[in-house]
Amino acid sequence: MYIIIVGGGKIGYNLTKFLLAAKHEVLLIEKDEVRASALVAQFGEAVVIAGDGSRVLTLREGGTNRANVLVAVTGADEENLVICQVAKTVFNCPRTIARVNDPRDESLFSALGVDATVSSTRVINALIEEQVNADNMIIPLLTLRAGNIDIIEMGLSKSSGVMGKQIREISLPEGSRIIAILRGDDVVIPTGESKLILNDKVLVLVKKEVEPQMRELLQK
Amino acid sequence: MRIVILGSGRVGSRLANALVNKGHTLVIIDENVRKMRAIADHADIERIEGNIFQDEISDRAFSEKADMFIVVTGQDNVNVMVAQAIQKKYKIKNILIRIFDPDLADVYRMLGFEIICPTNYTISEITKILDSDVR
Repeated sequence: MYIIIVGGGKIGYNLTKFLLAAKHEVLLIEKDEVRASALVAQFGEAVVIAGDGSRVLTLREGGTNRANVLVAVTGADEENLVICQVAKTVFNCPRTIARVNDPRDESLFSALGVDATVSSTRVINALIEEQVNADNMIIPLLTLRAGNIDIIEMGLSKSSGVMGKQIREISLPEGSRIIAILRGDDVVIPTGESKLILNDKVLVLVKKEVEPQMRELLQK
Repeated sequence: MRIVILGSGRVGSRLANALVNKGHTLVIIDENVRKMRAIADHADIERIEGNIFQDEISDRAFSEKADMFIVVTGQDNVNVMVAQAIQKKYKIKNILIRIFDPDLADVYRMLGFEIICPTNYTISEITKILDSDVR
């Protein structure tokens, strides 16, 4: 595939390295002359050109008309948007991908015809949130459906009202399920009859909003 | 008409003054209130300091239905993005975008926007003068 990357910062640089290693034809466009010459030294003149990727001229020079994909990963959302729109409108580029620096711009970009968006802020925020939860002794194993549902491992406190009870006797908050009991090295897929005992941990599938109630129930 | 202008540089400020004198109601937005010094004190000019990408700011500017939105910040790419965001959000029909780069101006004209390109305008003015000199 012929892939054009606009923006030679950390993301553009590493993406270029990765795609070259995967045997793609890659062109990296970088606006800053100094940065561009450093990139030329690394990747060679065939791979890097200096220029403003939001200008029609630059994209023409780069052969955008025969690009299979264009990826805009500069640090400015307005640039990434214009780059993708020019690639689509003028050069009929079949697939455009934009980095979105401000997560609020994501929906606008897709409404304006950008094929895919990547928001590092959102990804990083999600990671930080998970880290924060881990500090509360809860480790979300997986975040599903754009962060609305978590699979979380929870330990049971000795004093918890669920201790010694069968699953069917426990009234779980709406929007939650116990999907596994971790007992020593064993994993028990629970039925209504399964009992929770001392030192058990459970895997729960839980909607974000009832996570605090679940914690209250199992750990207080 | 109620007209919203983004950018109070040389063009934005003077445009606000000119339009209010023609009887229009103006809202002018800029991140830097110091740039609004050239705007006349007039009851029909509302100044908003802030970033239009913040809902609070754009909601204030478009709290009443605007008849026209004129986008004249110094950066082409910003102008183009703001215009499209505001068009989507507030369904403004008449939007005028300034784009310095003639190629980019063509692209957004193709996408149906009303574009003012000062570069093309300057070139055609100079050409006219040259033509009349030659004659």
